[in-house]
Amino acid sequence: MPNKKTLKAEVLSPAPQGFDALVNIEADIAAGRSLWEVLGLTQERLEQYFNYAIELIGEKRSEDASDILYLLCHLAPENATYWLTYGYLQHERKDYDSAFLSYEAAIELEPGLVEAYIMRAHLALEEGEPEVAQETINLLKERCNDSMFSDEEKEELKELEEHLLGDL
Amino acid sequence: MNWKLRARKLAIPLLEESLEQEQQNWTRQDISFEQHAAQVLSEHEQLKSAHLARIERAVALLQKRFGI
Repeated sequence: MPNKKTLKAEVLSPAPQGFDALVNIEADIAAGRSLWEVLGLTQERLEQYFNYAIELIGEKRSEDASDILYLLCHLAPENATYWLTYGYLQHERKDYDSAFLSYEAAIELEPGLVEAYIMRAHLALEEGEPEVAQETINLLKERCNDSMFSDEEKEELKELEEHLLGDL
Repeated sequence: MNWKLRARKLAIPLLEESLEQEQQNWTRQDISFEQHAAQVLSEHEQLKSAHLARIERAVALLQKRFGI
């Protein structure tokens, strides 16, 4: 068994090529700062990156878009939209674990983000976990009132509930 | 919830704590804990490499587009 010190050195060893800050972020966690601040980026710049990722999705370059969103989730983990979009993309790319975690992050960060609950419930259903889907819908109804839903989201919720009636 | 920590976990599970915990409760006879730890660390290295590769690809794309 590697001793604790060796283990820590191996697990948390600095990354090469100047990316240390993106891998070993304990100091930032302790300081309560996001990486975009540490790296001297601005919100405007992050938005440019995000818009570029959306552009790439439109061009069907989902792997490139996913890499940029992945970076954005690390640079600004407090941003629910980045998590939701990354989750949606990973969902589409069938990386279900990352998608689920990302939807969950979006919900925790922005409890009024209806779309994140709906996507999480869809994913749970696809993964054969109707109980988790139902739990997600219950949480959605508890936290979000009718005025927070778009017409499309109302329709999606209705469809999900109908589907769940058959599953549970 | 610490979202910076969560961002990191998305890429690289925090193995140190789980390994330490596993060591304390290790009862398997078919594999020693040392072998298990070596396997876990090797998988962790692969995850870390994949993480870095994604970050590098993203930075390269942004550099190309925005000239940063």
